[in-house]
Amino acid sequence: MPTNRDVVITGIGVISPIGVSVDEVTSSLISGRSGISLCEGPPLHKTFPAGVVRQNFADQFTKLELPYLDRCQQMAVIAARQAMTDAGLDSLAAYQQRAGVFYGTTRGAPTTELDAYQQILLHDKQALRPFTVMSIMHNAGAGQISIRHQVLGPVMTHGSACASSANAIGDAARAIRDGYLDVAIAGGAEAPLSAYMFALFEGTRALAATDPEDVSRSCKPFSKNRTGLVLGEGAAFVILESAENARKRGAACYAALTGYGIASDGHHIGQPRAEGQAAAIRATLADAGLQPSDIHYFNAHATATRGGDEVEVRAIRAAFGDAADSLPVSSTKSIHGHLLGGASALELIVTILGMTGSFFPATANVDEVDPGCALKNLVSKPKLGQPIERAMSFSCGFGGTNVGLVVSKYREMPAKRHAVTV
Amino acid sequence: MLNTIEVVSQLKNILNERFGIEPATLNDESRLGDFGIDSLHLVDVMLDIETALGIKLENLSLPPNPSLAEVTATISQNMEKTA
Repeated sequence: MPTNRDVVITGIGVISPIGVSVDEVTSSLISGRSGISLCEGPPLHKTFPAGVVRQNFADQFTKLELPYLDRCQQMAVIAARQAMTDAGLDSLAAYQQRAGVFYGTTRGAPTTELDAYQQILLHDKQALRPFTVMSIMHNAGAGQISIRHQVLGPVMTHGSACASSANAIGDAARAIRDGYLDVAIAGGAEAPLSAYMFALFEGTRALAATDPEDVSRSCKPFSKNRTGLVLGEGAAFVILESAENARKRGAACYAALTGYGIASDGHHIGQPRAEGQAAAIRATLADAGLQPSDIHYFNAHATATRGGDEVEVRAIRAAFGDAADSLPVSSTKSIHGHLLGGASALELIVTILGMTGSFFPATANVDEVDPGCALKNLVSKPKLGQPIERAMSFSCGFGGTNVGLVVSKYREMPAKRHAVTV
Repeated sequence: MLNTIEVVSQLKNILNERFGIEPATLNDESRLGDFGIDSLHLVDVMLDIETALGIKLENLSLPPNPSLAEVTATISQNMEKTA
């Protein structure tokens, strides 16, 4: 069965703190507009800087649909539909078992889950509402997408913490490359901005302090004065298909997905290890058949935690060697926050948009680089007019799973263009 | 003792409040599946009926895609049993 087919990206859908469309996200990346603002998580007393999507999506669903849909699933369904529409697709029924959904999330539906706990613990409920189990299960988002688009092949949910959606996208790409599937909806979603997830991360002492002068600057990857990560919410999906299938239906593409590498730390449930990360970067380069110097832009995981950023820079140096100091690197979590299960999908999209728009997205809020995180080509302001042939997006999860994805320009097909041009 | 008319009234009320179904569009022969009500929505409705009528339904089993009349009959039968 295994073949070696080209895999192309023909659609993008995104709901994020920096925009709810490809055009909005592109504008934000070019201008450096932050999507970080203050967020409450009642009944917690504290307020938190967070990547908030200031929109209620419930009005896009009927009362019959809503009981099954936590905010996470609402955003997942909307972003997936946006990607499918962008690709010129709707129902995948005709593909039978050769279409799939590959989805990543870390929690599924923490707000609905917290409400369920309250029903049991505080209101003496002996049974929950009938929809609850189907709205909180991890695969709820994947299931809902597959139903709405009649996907009859594999519908899978990845849980590798912050690398979940990269894992999902990579496995989808492999299934298409190897000839098992022709098309896949791949990505992730997370809706963590409520008490439960805030309290979980506050417990790790890894959340950023609110910047005293400007809350939108609270996430400072690689900075000397970084204080931690900023949670974010959203959903991000790409439509992957074989180049053959895309050509057959006259589709255009953003890029080809040409590399997928995965390696784990085997070290600590919450602390990263440079060796595991470097191994993942090397595996990604090897899968893409590339040398380090072939990568023109690197979108880092860097969440702005004291320990994590430094470990990742060591991994980049180890894997890229001499090329490390000329490699443009940035972490865009600085403006959209950490979308957890949705993070790597959003950041792959950011990488694609930078490549197709010929600009380097920036790490915002870097007033002074931490010497322990020093890379010569850290991009601290959006840089336009930068030809990028190949770029890598990198993600590292609690538990130690590290995933790299490479996207490359694909001249063998017409290029997709959007309204926002650089 | 609640009569059938009151049960129907409460049912239509719950279907409207929970799931946005206009009462005027429902009659005894209306198949609830045709309005998008699946088996889980129905379980939810029956739980709400218990609360609204102050009763406990022992047997929640219904025929597939029941009509409004069939749901009403199930509720009434349960109420007679526990009366």
